[in-house]
Amino acid sequence: MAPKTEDHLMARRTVLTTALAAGFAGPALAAGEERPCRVRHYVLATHDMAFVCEQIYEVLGLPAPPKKDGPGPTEAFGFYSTMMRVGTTMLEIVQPMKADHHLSRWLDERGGDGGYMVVMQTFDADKLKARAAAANLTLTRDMMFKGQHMLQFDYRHFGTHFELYKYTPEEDWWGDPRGRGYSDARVVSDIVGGEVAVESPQAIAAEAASLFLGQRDGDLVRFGDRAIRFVPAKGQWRGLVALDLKAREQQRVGDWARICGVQFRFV
Amino acid sequence: MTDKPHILRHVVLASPDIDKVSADLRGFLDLAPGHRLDMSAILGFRNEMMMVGQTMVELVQPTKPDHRLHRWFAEHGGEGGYMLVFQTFDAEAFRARAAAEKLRLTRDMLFRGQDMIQFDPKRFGTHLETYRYSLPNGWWGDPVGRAYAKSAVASEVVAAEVAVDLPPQEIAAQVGRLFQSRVKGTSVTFVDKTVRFRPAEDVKGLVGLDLKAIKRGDAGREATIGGVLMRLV
Repeated sequence: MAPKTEDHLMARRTVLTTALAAGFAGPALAAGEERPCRVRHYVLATHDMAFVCEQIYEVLGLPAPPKKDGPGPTEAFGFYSTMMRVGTTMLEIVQPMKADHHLSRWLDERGGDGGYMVVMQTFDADKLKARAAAANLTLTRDMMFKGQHMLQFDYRHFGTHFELYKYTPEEDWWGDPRGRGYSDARVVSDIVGGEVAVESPQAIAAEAASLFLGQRDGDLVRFGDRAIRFVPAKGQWRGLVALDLKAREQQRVGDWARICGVQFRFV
Repeated sequence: MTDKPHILRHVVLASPDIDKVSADLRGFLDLAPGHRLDMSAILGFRNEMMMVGQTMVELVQPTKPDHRLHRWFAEHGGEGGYMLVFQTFDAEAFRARAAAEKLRLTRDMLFRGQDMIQFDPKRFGTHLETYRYSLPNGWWGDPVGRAYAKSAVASEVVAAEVAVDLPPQEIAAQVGRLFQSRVKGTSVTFVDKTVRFRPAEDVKGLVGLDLKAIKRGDAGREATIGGVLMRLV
């Protein structure tokens, strides 16, 4: 989630660690072919970031990420943020500092803590914009932010905020996943999927697959080794309602935890 | 919906050195060593499970530097009573009561297949955790499948004492509503066990355990072990 500052600045790394390279790098395709978008991070919004982070650290066996002294990098923009890395996926917890912040309004509208955003990487922002225009979709953001081209889609349409970046350089993204000294989670190895509740799952899945170049299978859209499933919003909160996390222990498959209004499911 | 009452199944003591606590406790209770398990790789702690009567007594020690127990030691002022673990028979009804009380849950999860609910210790002084168990042999610690040594001194854990910042009567009343258990003043009854709440002085949390003495002459003997006052009653 934008914004980012020095703490989040991306450092070019020319050598990928072999263990993580597959998850961090985009897929290899034939020349001229546009690469599908990648899910890079999820954002959860809360009234109490410390409370939520503590639960996540404990449930995932995740050491708290390194923190610098002084104000956090997002505080100038009116919100607190904690970035953590789960495998090759970033997980960001945000908390508004004031009642008139857009996050506060979103929390009020939702009626509590919840999944706020899916952040993806596009490899061709112009083509993505062209597809959005062809589908008559309005962008809520189309801007250069800290040197990164950001496009954001209306959460009222897609259920949750889908925010896409054309990252430069492309092998790094918000949170500096390789350069910041994050630790691995003991309980899970990665976030492999998300679930978004919308009024018309099939239609939105088709639209998301078309826009973001995913592979659709019913209400599921695959983006490489990640997937977003769209489910009916009837009777439950709308938006990003669940995350699927790859359990390191087979016996944990099927377990779940409700944190920040989102179900963390061990798969 | 079920009418089965909630049961206090186990108590947890946390220490940076459970070997010492175990030795002291076993000495006090004349009890052979319990079952030890090192869960460092995934959960970041190791434990020892003992059984006194039908109640599990678990000792936990963090083994990873980032484990939350280190923060708890810092807040608590060292080792001490960490948690009371209950058994519920209707987790959804329990969640509904928690929501009606406007209580936030610090854990709301399926853990190793067991439906777990945990309350914020800032409210209740100590961690109150409850499970809707589906384990084949009862509850955590495998009380049926494992052979546990019997204490020659105590036959059962019959009461726990929790020191709280908020008025003890208010906390006892809320715990009574949540667990649908009988409240008398600052005490809540769970079948054959009692949890007493009292004002926190220097230390808050699970500060005492009452154990039923096998020999009448042992009643009144007490010792502070792992930061918890153990009393034979």
